[in-house]
Amino acid sequence: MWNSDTISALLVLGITVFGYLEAKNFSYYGGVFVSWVLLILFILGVVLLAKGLFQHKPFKFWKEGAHSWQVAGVVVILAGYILLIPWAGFLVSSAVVLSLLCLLLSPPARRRSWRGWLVSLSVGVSITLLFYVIFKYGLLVPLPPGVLFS
Amino acid sequence: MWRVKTIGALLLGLLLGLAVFSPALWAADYPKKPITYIIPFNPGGQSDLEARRQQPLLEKILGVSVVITYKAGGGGSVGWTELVNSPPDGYTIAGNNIPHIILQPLQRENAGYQTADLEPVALFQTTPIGLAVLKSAPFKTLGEFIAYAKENPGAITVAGSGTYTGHHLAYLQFQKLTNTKLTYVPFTGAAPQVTAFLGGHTMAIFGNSNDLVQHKDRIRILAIGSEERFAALPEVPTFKELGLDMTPSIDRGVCVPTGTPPERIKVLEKAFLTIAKDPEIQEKMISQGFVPKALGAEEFRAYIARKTDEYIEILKELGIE
Amino acid sequence: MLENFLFAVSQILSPANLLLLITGGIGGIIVGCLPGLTATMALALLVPFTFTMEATSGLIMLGGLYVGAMFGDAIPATLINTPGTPSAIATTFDGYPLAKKGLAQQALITNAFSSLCGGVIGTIVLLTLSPPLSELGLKFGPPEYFWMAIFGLTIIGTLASDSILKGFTAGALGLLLSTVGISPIAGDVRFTLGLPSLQAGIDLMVALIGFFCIPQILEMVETGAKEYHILQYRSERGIFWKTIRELVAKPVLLIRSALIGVGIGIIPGAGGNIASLVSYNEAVRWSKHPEEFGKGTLEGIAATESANCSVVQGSLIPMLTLGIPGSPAAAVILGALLLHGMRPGRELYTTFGDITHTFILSFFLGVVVMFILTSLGSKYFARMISVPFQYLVPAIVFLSIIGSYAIRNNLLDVTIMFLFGLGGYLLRKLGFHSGPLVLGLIMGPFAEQGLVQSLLIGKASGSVLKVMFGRPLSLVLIVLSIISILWPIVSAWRTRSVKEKKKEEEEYNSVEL
Repeated sequence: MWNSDTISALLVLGITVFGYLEAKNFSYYGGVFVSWVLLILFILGVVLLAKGLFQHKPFKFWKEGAHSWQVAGVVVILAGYILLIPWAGFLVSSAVVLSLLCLLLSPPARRRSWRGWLVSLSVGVSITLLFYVIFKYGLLVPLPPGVLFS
Repeated sequence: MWRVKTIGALLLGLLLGLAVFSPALWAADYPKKPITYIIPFNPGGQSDLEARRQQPLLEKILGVSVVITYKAGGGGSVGWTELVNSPPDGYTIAGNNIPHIILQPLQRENAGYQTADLEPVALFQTTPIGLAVLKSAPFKTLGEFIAYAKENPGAITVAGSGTYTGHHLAYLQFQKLTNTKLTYVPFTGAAPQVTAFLGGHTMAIFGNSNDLVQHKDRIRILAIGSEERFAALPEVPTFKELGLDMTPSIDRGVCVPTGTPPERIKVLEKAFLTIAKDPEIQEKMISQGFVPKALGAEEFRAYIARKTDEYIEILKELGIE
Repeated sequence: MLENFLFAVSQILSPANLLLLITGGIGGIIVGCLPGLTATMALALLVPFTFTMEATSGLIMLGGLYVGAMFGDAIPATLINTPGTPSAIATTFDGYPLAKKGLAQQALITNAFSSLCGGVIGTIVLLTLSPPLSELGLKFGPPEYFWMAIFGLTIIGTLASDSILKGFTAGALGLLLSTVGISPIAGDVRFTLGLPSLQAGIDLMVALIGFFCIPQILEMVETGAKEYHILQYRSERGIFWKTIRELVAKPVLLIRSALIGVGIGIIPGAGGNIASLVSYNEAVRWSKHPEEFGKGTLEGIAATESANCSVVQGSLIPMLTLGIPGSPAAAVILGALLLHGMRPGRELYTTFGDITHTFILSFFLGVVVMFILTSLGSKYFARMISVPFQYLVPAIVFLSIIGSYAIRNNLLDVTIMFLFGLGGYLLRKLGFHSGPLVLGLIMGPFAEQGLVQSLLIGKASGSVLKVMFGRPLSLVLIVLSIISILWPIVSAWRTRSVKEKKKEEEEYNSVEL
């Protein structure tokens, strides 16, 4: 039952329902295109569901040998990064987060050594500085300074 | 001379826009750091061009660098939302377009800002909106156009830019005053609108004066929305002359978030007005099809108030709002 | 005319202008390389600096920058599976698989050479056929835009050959995403979840970074450093001439792609992103080995890059002759022209003929210079892929964050980018591709505006059907769409019986595009 087709079908149908609930209130010219797209999406969802019901290959999220906990780690770090920027500013949060990422992805032996930590930190800081200079001074993109430091 | 110029330009180019921090000559307390100038539209649009024209002069007058950033979308609302959420310290300013800033908060449930959140600084340019048809069209005058519209309600398609914009309002006002019915076809911006009109996909256009001036060889302008005859198009009658009491236009200025210290607004106002009054700049604007203006903060505020009343009335009568 | 031409040649070859051209070009490559920064933005940044220069020099520099960006955007597309600008979406389809095979340098040389071809052919067309072609852009009215979007969407059949059903589902999701924000016609506020910032809709670059970059990062991490580094860049002697020889043997492909680019460039509003995808689609259709596309073939890159470089010149045709910019970047250049007191139209070819011809010729030289630069650099660019995993991933993460921020200096964009990234990762696991989704997002506005404007015009003229189906150019596009949609289905049917088993296995295991 739970193969990639049925899961996608349910996802698509869910989106269609959400879209329909919103689109009900649109004016005619604002909603005509949305309605067509929703109709097509609905049909595709039903076909996917039908196709999925005749398939028996179960859905597996992780492949054999996938570094699943590292992926989760990266996702968590990224989410934290985006939350941190408004507070700590681009420069500080980037340096911290990139160092952490570098450490997370280093081979296990290096993760435990002082040298590994030091290398990670310097990589994080130097990537940050390099791009910070390019963007801020070369391309004039004003980067958020953060509440703590402004 | 030429050489020196080129080399100078090269150096600038090499750094691709590296911020030029020209140190303030006198130690006033404002401005002391770079000013961010938000353009709530895409690069290449008219608001952008005006800002680019002002940028070097502003930097000279204010003594700090002026950084132009684009926050396009939602017909400008994204940029103005960003402005009202930035600190009111005079270091963030934004282009201020009438009627956009009046109509969006009126029409949308939550545009992200209110008209009153934007403190006007100066108005430097007006673009009257004109009504035009192709040279090949059967209408020679506005009278003929109106007569045709009366006989065939809804049959004339008019290209405009966006919904609840200056063009849309001009169309609504025109219908009301002439007691006709046209079909308004909105496009997303001046370029696609003009293209569709020139290609004959719509029968008429409510267009900005600069676009009309640019394409004047191919089109016949029936009337224009300026108060008096328009310098770049002296042969074109105004709506008022033809007995229609409307002066549709789009006005460009600058604003800051409400709460910005008045003495800082004064500094900005003076800088923008100096540029707006520069005869060379004015001449260039006229030749491109604009009406140069130089309204200070007070006059600008009064102008917004007057326009707001006017728009509310139009929208109310149509039962929109 | 000839006078102007000779003057233009002398101008272009002056050392100072040459240097400006190169500087602009290098700037363009850098901007093209960095996802989130587009040629349009860089051009706008440069415009005030051109005030201080002579009109000719300023335009030469702008030209160099514009061309450079079209060369540069293929580099991240090939190396990290993330297009540097929307024009390089189709470059990822074959560029990244090639890089994974250790053939990154070949991919980059292909990019350089086919961009050169596209640029040269485009410039020739711009120089010789501008006035007659300019009217073509005006023929495109709302119904044509609608059908063009439909035609564009049929490309999904090619992009998602392993599961056409999922391809179209992703495309429809993309279309739905494109409707977020203020409705272009009626002014409705749609799907904004109450956030005023969403009124602007989903920015294409935000979606590109989200759907391409983040899933790519997560997949790299998932695969792990060991497996990742098996596929490294190997340097090979004589690779340059070998690649060039291989490409020169396919003149039809290069010329066809370049002409597609020019044609689509002329249509106002349609730019490099559409041109390169259409050209890719055609390359697959006419190829003798359509099954190799998407797995790393030089033809795929050649088709894309040749088209997206000639779009530059195509978009200038209506701009110079009519004052109608064919692309956002052309709009900025138009602004620069106006600010220098030049008005598009006949004047540009008479009063300002010398300047205009210099500008056009600067593209010739521009593409040659960029070709030399990017070919020379290809070896070093390709090496970047060998940077140790734990340093490469943080760098890409940082680029994706700062790139999505740079578009509008908005942190909400960064959040949306991240959420799209997670969504894209999940969708890839379920067998969906990013390509069709982004295609839907690109085509959505054209389809919607074309449809609704046609409805309005149709109602005013008395017959909606006549407006939608009764115009010659529309009919051509409709026929093209039908051919395009049937083609992959027919060819899939033919090969399906043979490869059925193998395909299903692939679908199950598919991780990459």
